[in-house]
Amino acid sequence: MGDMRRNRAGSVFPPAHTKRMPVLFKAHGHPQKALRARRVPLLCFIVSVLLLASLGRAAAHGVGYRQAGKKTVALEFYYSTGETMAYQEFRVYQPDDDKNPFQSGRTDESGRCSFIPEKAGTWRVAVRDGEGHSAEASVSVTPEFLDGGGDPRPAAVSPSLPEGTELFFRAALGVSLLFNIASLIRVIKLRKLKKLEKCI
Amino acid sequence: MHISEGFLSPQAIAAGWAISAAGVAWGLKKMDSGKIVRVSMASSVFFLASLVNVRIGPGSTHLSLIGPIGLILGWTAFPAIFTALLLQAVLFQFGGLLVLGPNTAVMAVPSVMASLFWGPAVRSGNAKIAFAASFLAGSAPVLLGTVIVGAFFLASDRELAVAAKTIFLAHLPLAAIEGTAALFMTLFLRRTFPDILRGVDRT
Repeated sequence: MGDMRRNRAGSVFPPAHTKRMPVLFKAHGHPQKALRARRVPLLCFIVSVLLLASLGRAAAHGVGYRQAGKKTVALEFYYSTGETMAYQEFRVYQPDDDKNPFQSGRTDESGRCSFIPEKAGTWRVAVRDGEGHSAEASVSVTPEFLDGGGDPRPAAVSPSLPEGTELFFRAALGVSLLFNIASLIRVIKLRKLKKLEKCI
Repeated sequence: MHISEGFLSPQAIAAGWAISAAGVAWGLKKMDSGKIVRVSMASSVFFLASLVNVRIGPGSTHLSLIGPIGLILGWTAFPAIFTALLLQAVLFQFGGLLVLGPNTAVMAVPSVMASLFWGPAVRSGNAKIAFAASFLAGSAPVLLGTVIVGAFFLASDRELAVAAKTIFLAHLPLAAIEGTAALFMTLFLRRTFPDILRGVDRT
């Protein structure tokens, strides 16, 4: 009879005709415990099936899309040299929250990014490249804009490098200022020298 | 090579301002007032050079000429570059007013280094040594400038280390261009006006 045992009533357990099953859970002592132990794999199987079924239901959630139907704020970022800030990281901050970005992503090939504001106020859009350049735009969104009216290009944006005549005039102004500042320093130094000479 | 506003920590900005304030004060003290026209000329060259774009691959950068300016000005490069950067920030929105100190340190320190390290060799009688030193005096400050930018970035945010590497690599071609420009410039000045390469500092 090998590992067969007798219960209190004297009957052999397990019955002689029962095939030997692989022992997953070793049951000691009372035969009812052994029966319970055999139910455990069955329970595990049922629970697994239920879990898989629930996963299947989750995966079966449908997705769709529709046109947002809201007015969008679209901005274009560029370097002062005129080049666009293409494929750079941008972050949009809503009014009264400068820490948690409302939206983040990358600009497109033309350095553009867009977002749909959800409340009125000053929205901030910051773009950074990997080379130490950053640009920041403040966009003031009005309640009229949220209702679909108002200015289609709400406020914005940072000044860029001027072009043509304005660039020439600004460059000339800069050079002129540099010479004027140098002249001023020379005058101050000469006065100091004169004072020193008088003292001597 | 201009650092924009918003990248540096307050400590890095303060360090940049401390370096540039000390440099500007020392430069003004050393400046020979009789040669102030040279200072304003060199400062104007620096101011205008930034408007010259150099296309490198898909991007572009601009000339700085900080090496030749250092050779001409010596310690006076500090006030000259500070003033030019101030006007660039106001008129062209390059860099920014808050980071004016760090930007001055980034460009003026290599400029003065070029004068101190390569100046004697550039003025030497041996033409070959002078030419080699001229090239290095033009290119090395550009790379040193990017290293200082990297140091400011690392002091502010460890995550900017990648940006620091990118900036260094992106400026390698510009260093070669500036080295060549400095070589031709010193060639011309050695023949026509060798005295200008002695700097404007009082001795």
